[in-house]
This record gives sequence, C-alpha cells and structure tokens, in this order.
Amino acid sequence: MTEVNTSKNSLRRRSGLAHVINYGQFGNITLSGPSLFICERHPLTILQLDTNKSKTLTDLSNLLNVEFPHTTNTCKGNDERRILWLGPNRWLIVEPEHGCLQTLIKNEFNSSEVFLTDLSHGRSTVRLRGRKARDILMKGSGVDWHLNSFVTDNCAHTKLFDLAATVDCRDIDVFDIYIARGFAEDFWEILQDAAAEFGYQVD
Amino acid sequence: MFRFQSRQQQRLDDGGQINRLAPINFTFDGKKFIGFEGDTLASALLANGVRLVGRSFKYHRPRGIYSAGIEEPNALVALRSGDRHEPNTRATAIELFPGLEAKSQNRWPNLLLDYLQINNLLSPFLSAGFYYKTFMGLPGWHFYEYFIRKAAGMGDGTKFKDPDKYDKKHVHCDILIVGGGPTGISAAVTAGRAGARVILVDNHPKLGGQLNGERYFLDKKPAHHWVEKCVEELDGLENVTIATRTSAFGYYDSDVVNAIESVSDHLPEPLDYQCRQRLWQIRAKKVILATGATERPIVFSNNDRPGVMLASAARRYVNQYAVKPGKKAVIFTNNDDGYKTAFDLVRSGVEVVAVVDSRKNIPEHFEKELNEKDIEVIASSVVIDTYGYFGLNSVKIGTLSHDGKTIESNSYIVSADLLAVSGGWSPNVHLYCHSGGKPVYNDSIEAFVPGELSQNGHSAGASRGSFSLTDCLQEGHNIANTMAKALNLEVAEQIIPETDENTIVPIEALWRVPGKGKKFVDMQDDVTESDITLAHREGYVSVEHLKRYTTLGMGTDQGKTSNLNGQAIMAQEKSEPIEKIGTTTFRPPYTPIALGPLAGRDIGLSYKHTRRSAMHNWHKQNGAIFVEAGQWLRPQYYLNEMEQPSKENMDKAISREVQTVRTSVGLVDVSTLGKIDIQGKDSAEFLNRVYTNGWTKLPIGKARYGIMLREDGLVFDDGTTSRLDECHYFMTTTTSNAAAVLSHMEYYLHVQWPELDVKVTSVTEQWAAMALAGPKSRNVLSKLLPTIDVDNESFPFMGVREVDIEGVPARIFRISFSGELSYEINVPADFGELIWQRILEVGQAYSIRPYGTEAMGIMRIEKGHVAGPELDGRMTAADLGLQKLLSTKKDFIGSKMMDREGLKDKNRPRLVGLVPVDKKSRVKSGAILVKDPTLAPPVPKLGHVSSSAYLSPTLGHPISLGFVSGDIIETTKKIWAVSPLHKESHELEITDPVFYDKKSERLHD
Repeated sequence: MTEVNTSKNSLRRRSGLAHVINYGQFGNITLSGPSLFICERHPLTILQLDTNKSKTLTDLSNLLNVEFPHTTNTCKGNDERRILWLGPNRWLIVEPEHGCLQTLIKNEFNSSEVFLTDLSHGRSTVRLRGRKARDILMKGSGVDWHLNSFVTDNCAHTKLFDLAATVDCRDIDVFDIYIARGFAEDFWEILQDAAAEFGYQVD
Repeated sequence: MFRFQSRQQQRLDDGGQINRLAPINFTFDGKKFIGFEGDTLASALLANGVRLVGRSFKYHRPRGIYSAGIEEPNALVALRSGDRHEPNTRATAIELFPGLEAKSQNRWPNLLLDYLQINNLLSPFLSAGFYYKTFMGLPGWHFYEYFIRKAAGMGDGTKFKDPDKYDKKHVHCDILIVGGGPTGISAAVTAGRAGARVILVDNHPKLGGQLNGERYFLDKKPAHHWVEKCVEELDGLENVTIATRTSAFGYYDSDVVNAIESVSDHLPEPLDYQCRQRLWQIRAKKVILATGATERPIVFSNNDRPGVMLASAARRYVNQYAVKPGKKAVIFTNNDDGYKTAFDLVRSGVEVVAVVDSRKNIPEHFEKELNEKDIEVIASSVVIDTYGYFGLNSVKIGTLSHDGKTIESNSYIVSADLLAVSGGWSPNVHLYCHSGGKPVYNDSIEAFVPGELSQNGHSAGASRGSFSLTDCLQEGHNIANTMAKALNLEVAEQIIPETDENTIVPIEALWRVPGKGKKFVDMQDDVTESDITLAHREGYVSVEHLKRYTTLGMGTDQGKTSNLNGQAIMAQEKSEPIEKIGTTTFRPPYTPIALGPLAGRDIGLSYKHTRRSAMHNWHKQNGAIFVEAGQWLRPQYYLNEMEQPSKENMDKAISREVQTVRTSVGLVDVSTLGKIDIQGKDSAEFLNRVYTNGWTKLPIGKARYGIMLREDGLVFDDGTTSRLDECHYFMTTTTSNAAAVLSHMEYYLHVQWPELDVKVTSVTEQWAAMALAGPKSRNVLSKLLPTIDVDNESFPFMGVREVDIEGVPARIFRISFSGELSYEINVPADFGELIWQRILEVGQAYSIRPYGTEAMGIMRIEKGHVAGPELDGRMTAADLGLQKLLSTKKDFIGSKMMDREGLKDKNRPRLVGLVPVDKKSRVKSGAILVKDPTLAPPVPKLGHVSSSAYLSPTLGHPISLGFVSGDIIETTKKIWAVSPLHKESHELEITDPVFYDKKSERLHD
C-alpha cells in the first residue's frame, strides 16, 4: 500500500541525507587520491519478508530470480537485487526503486503465506567503497571485518558507531550500510569524521 | 654533528640506536637542551648531564631517573603546555620530539629550592596514616585536607578542553602476542609462518624489547640483526599485524585485550586528520603474554638519590641510547644481572669502582672478564647508605653478617656518582592476573610467576620466569607452535638462534639491608621500610590492608618496582613465607592511560545520537526551537521571523499556537510516536492479550485506544491501534516507550506464545506523521483530498483511511490528542517534508500554523489526556481514570496481578486537575502536594504534580495534572504544591482533570 503511484506523482523522494551531503574530496587526500568512496544509495525499495513455508520461498526465488540465503548473516543476489538474511524466517529484499516489487509479490502470494513490510523510507543506505572501507567499519563495530572473515555476500547486524546497522558485503571492499533514517544525519557526520584520516570522496 | 655532541657531555661518541644526524631541541624547566632522534626524554636529559628531575610525593626529596621504561617511579614530569599540557608523564617512556617542553612538578618555587622539602625534616611525624591519626578526629578536616593534598601530590592537570581526537579500532585474531621482545618475536614468526592471523603489540617504537638494551649476540651476530630479519619476514606476511607504540593495558573476559596505540604522542602535535591515540579492542582466540619482567631494587638507606638507578636501566642507557648515566659507578646486586651492567658500563668508558654482591659465591664464569676489565668484586657485602643531596656522590659499603640481619663493623665509603642496583627480576604477571589467573611464588627466581591458566592467555619467556634468552626464544616458538596446532594450522619449523649468554647462577634473595635511615620501598609514594613495619606493628595483617594503609603500590606505576619488596618485608616481619602473604590484586590499566581513547569520538554532541524526523530541516528553517525528547529533536515552539529566543517570546509563540489550533487549524510533527506493523492471522488475539480492552471486534478501517499493563498490573503504555486489513494492524505507542513496547511484544511472541501467527515490525522510521488539528482541519483535508469525502459520516471519529495525497500513499487516522477535530496523517518518510509543506500551503486559507510540543502538551493537559509523565510506571488504570478499559471477559498481560490489595486501595493517588488559587502561579512538574507548607518535617506527602501548563491560553490561567490520594480528594478541595529545591509553594484547587470540552463534542463533530 505504501508504494508510490508514479504515474500520478510528480514528487521525488527526498532522502534523510538530502540536506547534508556535500560532494567532493575531503580529509587527508594524498597523491594516490582518496582511500574511500562514500555515496548514498537512494531511492531504494526495501522490503522485509517473513515466511516459514519452504515451498513459498522456492516460488519467491523463482519469481525474483534470486535465491534466499538460509545461512545466518549471509546475503544472496546480484548487482540489482539483494536478499539479506535478517533472522529465522525473515529476510530483507533490497533493490533500486524502479518497479512495484511489493505489488509483484502480493499479486503472486496471499497474505497468509508471505508477510511484507515496506521499510524503503525507514532506512538510509550508504555505500562504502575503497581499500580503507574495512578500517572504517573496524572503528565503529566489534564484528570481525577481516577480509578472510567477512567476505562477499556476508551481512552483519551490529551496532556501528553505536547505531543499529545492517552491513552487506557486496564485494571485497564494497559495503552497503543500512541505518535507521532518523539517525542518518548523525551517522553521516560520524562516518565523515572517521574517514577524514584516510581521505575520502563523496560521490 | 660535533657541535650537537659537544653539548651532550654524557653522550658516547658512538653506538646506540639513536640518529645522530637528527638533533632534537627540547626544554626542561625552561632550559634548552639537545638530544637525538631515538632518545627518550630521560636518556636525553642524562646525556645532557641532568640528574635531578623531580621531587618526591610526600617528603619532596630530590629524585632522578631510576629506570628506563614504564616502571619509572621518580621521573614524572609535566609535558607540553596550554591545552595539551599533561602532568605525571614518565620521562623514561616519552619519545623525544622537536620542541618538547617538559617541566618538573610537585615543587615550589623551583626544583632546586622547593620550600616543601621541609617535609623531609618533618618525616618522623609524617609516617603512614599520619593524617588519619592527626587530623581526622579534629574539627575542620576539609580545611586541613586542602593543604595536605596541595603539599603531597602529583602534577596539576589542565582546565582547557583537550584539542585532540581519539579513535577506536576493533580487531580479531587467532593469536594475539603481547610484547615484542625475543619471546614475542619468536612466537610471531612461528605463528605467522603457520598462517595464523597474528597481532603483535608492543609499547615501544620498535620491536626488540630487552634485546635493544643488551649486547647479546644471536648466531654470532649482534641481536638486532636477528630482530631486523624477523621483522622483515613478519612485515611480509599478510596474516601478521605489528602494532608498535601500542600498550596492552587490560585483559578482560572472553580473551578480549584492550590496548592503546600512541598514534602521535611522539610528534609535537597530531598531523592533520590524525588522532592522538587509538583504543584497540582485540578479540583473540589465543593470547601469548610475552610481557617480560621488571627489575626490582634493593631496599637500603637513602636508596632514592639522583644517581641511584636500576642496573638494567644503566645498561640500557649505554647500549640503546649511548648515554653514560654516570662517570664512576658502583654496582649493587644479589644476582648475575649486576655483572652484565658492570661489563657494559666499562665497555662504555664508565669507571666501575666495584660490584657489591650480597652473595658469598661469585659466579666463576665472570672471573675472566672481571679480571680483564679490572673490576673489583666485593662479595657478601651490601650498600648500607648513600650520600649527596642533589645527586649521588658516594656510597657506604659494608659486609653482611652470616644471618643477613646485621652489618659487620668494617664499613667504608667510596665515591661514585652512579649506583646501579639489581635485586632480581619480577615477571610482569599483570595481564595474566587481569585474565583471572592467580600467580604463585617461585623460590628459584624469588618472584611470583603465572599459575594455572585462566582463559586462553599463555605466558611465555621472562613473563613466566624464564630469564635466559635461549629459554625465551624457545618458549615463544613452542607456545606459538602449540597454539597453531590447536587452531588446526600447519606448523612450520623455526631454528632458534644460538645465544652467547652465560649460565645463570641462582639469585639469593635480599629484600632489605639492615641499618638505620630512610629506606624507600615505593619511591613514587614515598613508602619506606619503616612504614611497612609500622603497619605490621599496628596489626595490618593483610597485604591488601597494608597497601591501603601505607599506599604501597598505589601510585601511577602501580608498584612495578616496589610491590614484591614490600610484600617480602611484610612476610619477614610476620615470619611467614612470601607465598602466604600473596600479592595485591592486579587491575587494569597496566600503565596509566588517558581517558580520551576510551571515549573515542563519543563526546560532545556524539555522546548521544540524535534522531531527526523527516520534517526536521523544515522546522530548522522556519524558526523552530528544538527540545530533546529521548533521542529525538522535536520542535518545542516556532518563533516568528523577527522574534528572538526569550522567555517572553516563548510564551507568545506557545499562546499563538494553542489559539490557532483551538480556533482554526494547526499542524504538528508527531513522527516520533512509536509505530509497529502487526500482521498475521492471530493478530487480533495477540492484541487482545496485550491490551486490557477487547480487540476481536474492531472493524477494518477503525482505530481504538488501548492501554497495556505490565505483568505486575501497573500501566505500561497507551496508544491507538488501527485495523488496516483482516490480518493487518498498525499500532502507535508513546515516543518514549516505542522500543520497550516492541521488545515486550517480541518477547511474548517468541517465548510465551510462539503458537500465535503474528509478525511485529517497527515502522517508526518508515512513516512521517503529522497531526492536522483544529476546527478547520476538515476543510484543509478536503482541499488536500478533493476526490474523497471526509465529512463526519464518511470519515467519523476513530476512522482510518488509506488514501493517495497527490500521488503519495497516506494513512489518515481521525484521532485526537489535542481535543480538537484532528487527523493524523502518515506518509512514507521520504515524502514527509513535501506533504508537510503541501498541507501548510493548502491550509494558508485558514491561517494554518505549525505548532510544537509545548502547545501540544498544553492542549492535552487542558483535555486531561494522560501522557508520559502520568504513565510513570507506578499507576494503575484506575489511578488514571481508565478502569473502564479493563476487560472482565478475558485474560491479558497484567490481569492476574492488577487486583492485588495494594492496587485496589481506595486511597491510592488518583488523577486530578489542579488550578492555582491565585490563577497565575506557575507550578512546577514534580512538585509535592501537601496539606500545609508550613508544617515541620516530616510532612506527609498527599500526591504530586505530574504535568503543568504554565499558561493555558484557552482557560486564561495555569493548570496542572497531578495525583492526589483518594481520601484527600473526598475531603479536601484545596492543597499546597511545594518544591523545596526551588523554595516555592503554591495553593491549588483540586478539580476534574478534564478542563476543556468535557463532553468531547469538538473531536466528535
């Protein structure tokens, strides 16, 4: 029900970071350039999906063309669509906002099989990329971020700089961080402060 | 180069691990000096012939440099100035940097004069616990205390704000190695080759540990060749992290070790974007404690003069820093270590007058070198006393009697400006003890060593009492090998290099030398042998009591050089073995640390995170004055363009906002309310169990108010829940209880009622919410939704609609907190600001105005609605006047406990309205209600004021809500509110809690 009627709507979504993002290079930029690249991913469709029916999951995988991860703290997906394990029988589906994902699923499955909760506007998503990305995560969270330990398609639900965060490892040094929207400005400020010593670029 | 050298009269012409091409200027007590890169402040001062560096804690005795490491008890100096001023830093651990400013401390007016050295003469009256005995019984202790603390103390801190940044780092590893000496390096090579994730931390700028201060040969080459080779190999291993200038200060549960990295302490100030220090929180599967050992002194008369130092320190100064700590030395030892010092000093051109060895038998293997270097050894002898006020000039030597309790009469004095003392070595068991281990006494080395393993931290090398270099290298390898195997790693061989060390002849314990005079045990706290014997005589039988009575080991050095001597003396006094006396408790931090890195960046505004609604930026740009509501920042009220923040303007703004809502229409941001999405076929049953009222018959498209009780029957929270679909509900909670309510519900779903098919999810952040309130709110809404009928029949009170506002999906709830016709409009947060602005545009025709929490609070008090101050966890539903919401047809959380006798008492406080009799006094929330403010204490409390509206624009006078005991309500119409802290009392009239629209006609129309 919360999906925007794009045909009628001339309004654009305004992210929680819209007022604070300044683009450019900042901090300790050396001759080799920035060690970190930070950008906001917006607008995204973020759906929480609950189901305990394995057949439904298989059908959902076929519908979405992405397998559902069953291992704790892992993700599956492709460049477009990601599915993150959130807890027993609970996943987060993330993709750039371009279609009506919720409608797509609701049209195929009834509400007693699949429970969908739209969190697209409730999360701010920041992508952290670069050779110092893991060092930033190490500053803010006690998870083992070592590249042999937190590998591509791992996700973590942790406190990052004392804020509840979900971190999806998209590639060796590429991470998507999901933060509650209300804390997005605070998080952005802390992230910049932590990144300054490495030199960073906001894209 | 020669020019620099010429000003450092004690600097050797060659040798050492200093960079003579990099001279460094520094000052001490305002006097300019030059040292070299690689120096510590202590080595640079010694190189410049500075021996007097401080005054002692209590007696203000002249003190010099005693050690060459973090154990330093004497050479505490104030470093830097202004906002970077830092007192009590150890000159022996400060790396020299350009422009370093150091000042001596605990002296006035200067180091040489220091008027308080009179304390030394008064010392017979200043023994352990003197101020307890002298002043505590007298009146005016706080007057004396100031002067006592002023006279006996450390340096002064700065009152400026710390300008530097501090950081944190969380790391994990297979094997953490603490200590980069021979043991640690050997272990790191083995573990690194095996492929383990290794972190090696060491508090020095480079690895090597004791090898840097010795003239050892490994495989017939100077030991630094081996160190460099190993470091090169470790640097090349991706699985190994070497953290130098990083001091592990605490070993906590689950093998977590915390360390502080001194990122820029060795620089004049941090570079741009650089932090000063970084806290490493290291989670390790296994820990190797290669923390080495600390040499301890021997207790004898006047053993604290500048020029007396630990034997190993003297060695380190000549070997590592190419500094002669004196010109003419006497060595006093009870073990082999003193001989190594004698040889190294002679090699460096220091005249060694004699080695005074308390042992009868001189190690034979030293004889050849002693003869070659023409060093006299005086066996079975001790240093009895020393002379020289500002610096040692001679020592008195005597022969120890056979029983060690007296000195023979043949004592004599020799001149010397350096007395190097070695009383043996104490393994650094601190981290082992932090981990929960209990040290045990080892007679063969006369020291405490690690006992049984507590966690996964294994001690190796000198830290477990293995003092030979070969043993250290082998143990490091062995323990790393064992750990690697336990981690299922393939172990690679390591060939342990050959050493050139001699066989060690066992130490013969000598804790103290007989004789009179001031014999210091703990130099930092000026604790003497006589203080310990006094404590014994006064009945202090526990070593913990001894510590607290005498302050033994309570300084910033935590008694690294003094504890064992003190414990041994106590043992001798009690005629008990040392192991029976035991040690005091070792607690983190191992070395003093700044508080900055513990806080990291969680300071200032980052101390507590701030939560902002989707409309925050609009509020900020439109005159909102914010107030904290939990973590949220909410508009308290809005000032007009020309208004400046003031109490008067605040009152004007609030009145303006209330009147606008009461007469026309206003808009308030209520995004902070907790919102919970509830789905599943058992949702209605779940709500029935969670709320006190019935929920099974709530139709789709309707909202209902409900209260929740805690298990103990008291009210937990209130709010509305709306039915959006057959199995889909939307719950709101109070702002402050949003997380608690979700957690409460999740607990019941997961633990108590797993059979219920219900999913709950917080959607507080998903929805931006705003309440459109006032008699004209329907007009605004109808303009906003031109195609939807919003009249009273189509969209009645407690109705819910899911609509589309100009393309944006919205949920609209006709519920009211203000007591006016009101619609709570929820839109996805990214559209919050846009819809907010759109409503204000549409509402302009009705003079719409945004309003803040103050106006909202006043209106809900006028309406008698309860909120957070009333739902304080102590009230029953009946106390709040909500007993009608307690269903008698079902069980719900709290239903079993709510009928307890105490909760049904008729005299319990009940919600009332309160109006000042003078119709103008502003009563403070929290004020206590009493019968008469003039009564003498104890005054019976009859209730309290929970919420106050300092002004009620609607009623024209202040009003409050509060709770008054039931029996008082029946018999009394007037009561007094007192606020003793503010020295206020006001007479109040007790009224009905609903001041406005008692029949609720306005919100129903």
